[in-house]
Amino acid sequence: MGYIAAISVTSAFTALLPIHRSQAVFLGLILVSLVWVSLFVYVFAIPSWLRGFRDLTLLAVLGGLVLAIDKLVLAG
Amino acid sequence: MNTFRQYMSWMHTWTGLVFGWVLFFMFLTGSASYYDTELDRWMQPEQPAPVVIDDTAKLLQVGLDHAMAEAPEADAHFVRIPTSRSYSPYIFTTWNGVNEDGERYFGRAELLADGSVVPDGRDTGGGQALYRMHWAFHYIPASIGEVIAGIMAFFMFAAIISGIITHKKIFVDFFTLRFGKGQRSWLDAHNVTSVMSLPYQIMITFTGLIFVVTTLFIPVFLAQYAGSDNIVETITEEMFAQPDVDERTGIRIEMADLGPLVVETQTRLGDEPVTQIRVLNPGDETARINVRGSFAHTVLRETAGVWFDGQTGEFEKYSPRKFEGGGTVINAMEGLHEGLFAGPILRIVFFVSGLMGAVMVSTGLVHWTRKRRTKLRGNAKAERNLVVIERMNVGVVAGLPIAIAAYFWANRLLPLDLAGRADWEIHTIFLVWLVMVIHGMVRKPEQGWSEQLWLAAAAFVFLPILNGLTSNIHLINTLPLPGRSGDLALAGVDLWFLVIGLGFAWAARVSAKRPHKTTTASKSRFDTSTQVAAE
Repeated sequence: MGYIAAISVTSAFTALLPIHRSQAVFLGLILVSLVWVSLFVYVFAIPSWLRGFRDLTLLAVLGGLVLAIDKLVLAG
Repeated sequence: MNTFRQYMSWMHTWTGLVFGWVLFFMFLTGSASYYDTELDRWMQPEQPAPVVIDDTAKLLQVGLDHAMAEAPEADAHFVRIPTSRSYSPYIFTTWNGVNEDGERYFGRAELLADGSVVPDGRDTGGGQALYRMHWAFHYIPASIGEVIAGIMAFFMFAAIISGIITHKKIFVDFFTLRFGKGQRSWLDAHNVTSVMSLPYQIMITFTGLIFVVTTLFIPVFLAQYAGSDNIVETITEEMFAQPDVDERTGIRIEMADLGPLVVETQTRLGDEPVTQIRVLNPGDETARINVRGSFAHTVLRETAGVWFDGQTGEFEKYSPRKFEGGGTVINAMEGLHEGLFAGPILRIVFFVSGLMGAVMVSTGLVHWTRKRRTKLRGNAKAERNLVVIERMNVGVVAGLPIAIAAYFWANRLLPLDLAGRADWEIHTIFLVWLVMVIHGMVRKPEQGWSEQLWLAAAAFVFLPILNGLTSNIHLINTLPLPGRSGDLALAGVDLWFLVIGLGFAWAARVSAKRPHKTTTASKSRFDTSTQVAAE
């Protein structure tokens, strides 16, 4: 779930930046590994695995929503 | 109630433990890769001396003439003269095109300064096999190996972060190494090697992860390019733009003289030496020549260059390094990881730091088993399982350096006409490693460590002697002495073998010492930091 959340939230963030999408990919590739490791450490740092799973799922959904809205706005 | 530090300690232990053996393999073979080109040469002792760079334009012309003679109708010719980090120490030329049947063809050659083709040396894996092994492993497809290496880098990075959080007293750990105290000595060794090489460990792990991001994180591309008509084509076009190539007209021309082109490019590049040219549509009136600098000159790994008209030699445009923005950052990180830009001193620092990484992982593994043993006293079943891990540690950790040394022995001792010789060199690594693991399993750990470390010492110390007996690139001929320049690259390989062998001899002596009883005073002083770290 950390992998999905990291990709989702990083892609959403870079998509919102006013840069060309090729640059957004490069930036995303750099950030996503940092975010992935951070989320992994986060899950270990909190006392409940269930809470960790919930938080990562929320993050993944949130990132996906932002990305979808961004795509729709662009398409519009 | 568990604290944050204890959670991190738990994570540090288990990520290190589960992936430790693979990480150890990656660290050791990866460290050897810093001297891959030197090892390539050492492993082909019959090959001629490297090309001396005296006249860049002339050497490039030699390569271009050869390519033109071999493939006058090719789409492109490429020529590179050697740098200290080139795969080939000779003039290296390649060409590619499409034949009459519409099939793409490729060709390559290595040349001496007089244009003669370098004869084939012995079939060997060379240093490149070790380099490739550290990220692609062996006996599995490279694409799968790359993913495994990426996942290993991920867990290593997590282990580093949790290790930093776990250690309360990093500064104290830097100066704490007590020999002959059993479990505590292993922890000290783990802490010292970790802390001393920490900046390197962070750099090499993160940049290693960056190397595989394009494979591991394909959805990042899809997220930005979803909805495009042809995703792969669009990505290639936007991110990896290639120069425009005109259609051949079929009108043959005399190509421009390279001399002035190299001079003009050199003026624009400043202190970055010109080392390579690419010619599109060679020999055709649409020919274009791209003269470029050295990929090993900066951390960016990319070169700037100049485009010229192929017939007149007129300046067309300055072509900067290929990537910009984020691409440059990724390129710089990959450049940092490979260390191609590093001079001799920095290369030694990288190499030693890499070895420290291997020591860090291995001492962490051994420390865990020692500590676990004291905890499990009285639990027969758990102790039996632990014995297996303990003995496997011997064969995996001490056995791998022996196996790598065996790779170099095989290079000298296998018959030169053996079919699949290079493959057998590599098989030697894994066969010897297997034997060492079996040896470790049947011997008591103390005996296993001592015997294998002594064997590793002997295997490396005697390599320069074996080299002397089987080739003429031994230290007597290669060491720089007053009145002769020698060949420091080749001498360095032998000297490193000696240093590493002596290092193993020292480790064997230290490991053979019986642990002293820990005094109460030393316990109370260091307990806080070591206990948490050891959990």
